[in-house]
Amino acid sequence: MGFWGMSWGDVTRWTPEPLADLVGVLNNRYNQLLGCADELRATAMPEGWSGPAAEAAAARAAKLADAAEEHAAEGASLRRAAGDVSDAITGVLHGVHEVQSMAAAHEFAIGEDGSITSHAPPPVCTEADPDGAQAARDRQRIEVELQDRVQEVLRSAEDVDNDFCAVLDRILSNHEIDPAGDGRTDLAAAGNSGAALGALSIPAPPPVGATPADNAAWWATLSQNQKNVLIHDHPELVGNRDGVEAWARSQANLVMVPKLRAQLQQQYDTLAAQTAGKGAEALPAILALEDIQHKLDSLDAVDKIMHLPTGGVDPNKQLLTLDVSGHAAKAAIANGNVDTAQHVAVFTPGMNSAVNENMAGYVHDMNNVRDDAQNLLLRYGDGSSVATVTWLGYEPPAVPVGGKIFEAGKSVPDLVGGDAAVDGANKLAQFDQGINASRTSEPHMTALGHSYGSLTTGIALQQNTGVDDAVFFGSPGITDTPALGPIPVNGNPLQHLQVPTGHAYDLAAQGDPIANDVPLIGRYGPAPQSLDGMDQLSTDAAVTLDGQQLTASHGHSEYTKVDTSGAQRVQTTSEYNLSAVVAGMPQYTIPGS
Amino acid sequence: MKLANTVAGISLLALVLAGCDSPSSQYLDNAHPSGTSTVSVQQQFDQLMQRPSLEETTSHYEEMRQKIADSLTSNLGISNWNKREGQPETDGCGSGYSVDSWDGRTYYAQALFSKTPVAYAQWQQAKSLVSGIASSYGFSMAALAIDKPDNMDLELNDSYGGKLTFGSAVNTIISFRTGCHLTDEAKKRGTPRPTS
Repeated sequence: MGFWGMSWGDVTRWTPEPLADLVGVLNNRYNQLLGCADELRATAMPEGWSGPAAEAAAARAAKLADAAEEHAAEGASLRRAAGDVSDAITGVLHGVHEVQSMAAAHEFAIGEDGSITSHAPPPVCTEADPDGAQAARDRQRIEVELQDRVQEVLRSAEDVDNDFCAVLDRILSNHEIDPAGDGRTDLAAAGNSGAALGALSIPAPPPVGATPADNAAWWATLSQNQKNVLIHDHPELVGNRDGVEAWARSQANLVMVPKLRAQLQQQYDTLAAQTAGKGAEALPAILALEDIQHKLDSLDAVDKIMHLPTGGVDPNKQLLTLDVSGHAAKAAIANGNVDTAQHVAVFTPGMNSAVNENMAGYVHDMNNVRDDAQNLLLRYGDGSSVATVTWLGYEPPAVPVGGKIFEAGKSVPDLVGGDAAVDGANKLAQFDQGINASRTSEPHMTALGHSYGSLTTGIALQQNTGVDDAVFFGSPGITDTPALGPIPVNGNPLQHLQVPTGHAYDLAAQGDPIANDVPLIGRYGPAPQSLDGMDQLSTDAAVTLDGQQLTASHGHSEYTKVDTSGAQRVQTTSEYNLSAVVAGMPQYTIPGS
Repeated sequence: MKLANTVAGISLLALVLAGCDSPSSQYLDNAHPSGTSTVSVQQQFDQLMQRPSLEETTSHYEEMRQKIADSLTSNLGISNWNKREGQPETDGCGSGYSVDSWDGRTYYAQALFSKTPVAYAQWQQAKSLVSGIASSYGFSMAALAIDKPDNMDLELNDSYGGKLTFGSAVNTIISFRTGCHLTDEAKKRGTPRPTS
């Protein structure tokens, strides 16, 4: 596969060392030039010398000085460019090595032309994957990702090559500095001017609509310096880009918080001034003000979650999404380190969820799930780590309770139509794919969906996300084709889910009308607990197979929290089950009746 | 199609609203977001003032855990205790707490573990040792109990929502997390953190 004339084989043979060595050589020459020629213009015209000879000498000296300045600028430009290109090549080679490691780990080979060839034997059928379909999907996903990554590495390499060529062309044409320019006073200034021109641009990110694999490959080709520059100078290009490493997304989104707050406050102040003293005609503007206020409150909530009381950033949390461009704020916050955790769970909440209102509670509950999962793993001699992400990267609908009928971006039509779930599902699928793409070793991934979030999760998992286990709780159904009339949707939507066979779980508590009554309408398909192939987990006051005394969950809202109905707080069966699945130990879950 | 959508949604909406009226629905999908409660911030802060601070609680529970480990070592030969890699963590208090999340905090200890499992024949004795020490520190309510040869677990709660986990399979682990407590700084201040 060639990319504007550059082949994969060419790039794999790049090496940064010669250019790094050149920087040292150029630095010595540059300093020598500055030392011997700085006073050239002044010494050519001794004081008291005049006449035609003096003028000729002055003209000659000026030409020599111009040439010296051009040399200084060229040297500085080349020195800067050589350093930057050496740095950039290191980044590109990092991208190359990531692709090669990934290919080797999955038994693919990359040809000189960038073509991808599989060397794996046919998939082995297992109990969890009886027809090998899951293994085939996984291989197809990896192959596509490899192709995308090769393309992105070549694109970055081409970008570096073009930038370096532009610098060299300027040097060869002796136009490193403007001959007519008269603002220079010495060679050092000329050198500085040349150094600025010699700086390389950072490869532009993939365009809108790029896949997480594209983004991951682009990011992998950047040097650490380039990454840092992007995070601090252009955080909007990094923070919400699925496929970029979690640490970088988090840093970029944290940089965005004060910027977004300032923008929103300005919008608020402007709109408030426009509506001052107006009557009913200002109602739309007043509602818009409420939208903005909710977003400002959301930023405050995120700030609180992400920082410790001492003011420092909480090292155990990552801000993976921050977006205030819609009707309401969207965010995703991880407990733990998504870049390194062996188990990553992504929890999608449902109706009435909002960043400014209940994000902190969700993140806390997911931290408890993480704590329990890690303890379970450690008990079995596995010290691997867990990260749990609360993903509110969509705008779930709200029902008009508690005076929320006018709440920003949330309305009954969203609930009725299911559009928010479909829209959210695409974003969620990209987010999940991005976690896998951002890492060279894919984690065990679990998708957790509650209520309307289970519908969103179910639709997202129809795509090839790399999710290994899925848990639906308090679910009204998981079909992507809601009934348009009173006739219920039939069929088994589980067949469309791209998760390993036997790795989809459902929890439906007693007294939960969403899980037990809504499916009677069949709007979102049959009740998940009735689906063939869905493992029903218990929410009852179970005594487990191994003798655990657990407490029942009741109603729609207690799946991930301890029971607080009595004087004590007791772990519920459903919370235990969620932790066991997240830990990748479903054999310790408690089956439902 | 819009009409059909609306008709289909009305009954769904009715069910949803019915569900949201449930007093137990104070968490997900409800009228009371998890970050708030019906108790005022001041009332809740006053209640939390009656509890030991987070730092006091943590220190107290670390002491308890060391006593448990020492007891298991001297009585059952479970030794060579190590802490899980990483650092202890803190978090806000989560759903049901409207107190400022920088005033009220929870603490997650790193699990302490030994690569020596408890022999199943000694599990009852181990539980008694742990329960005896833990109860003197307030962990007197049993939440979970697993009594299988390949999976032994005892989880105890204190009255603040804290949890002590003692388990053994391949490793023996002792871990805890606290319930909601004011930080030393908040307790010393004595009033809720001013809103900015």
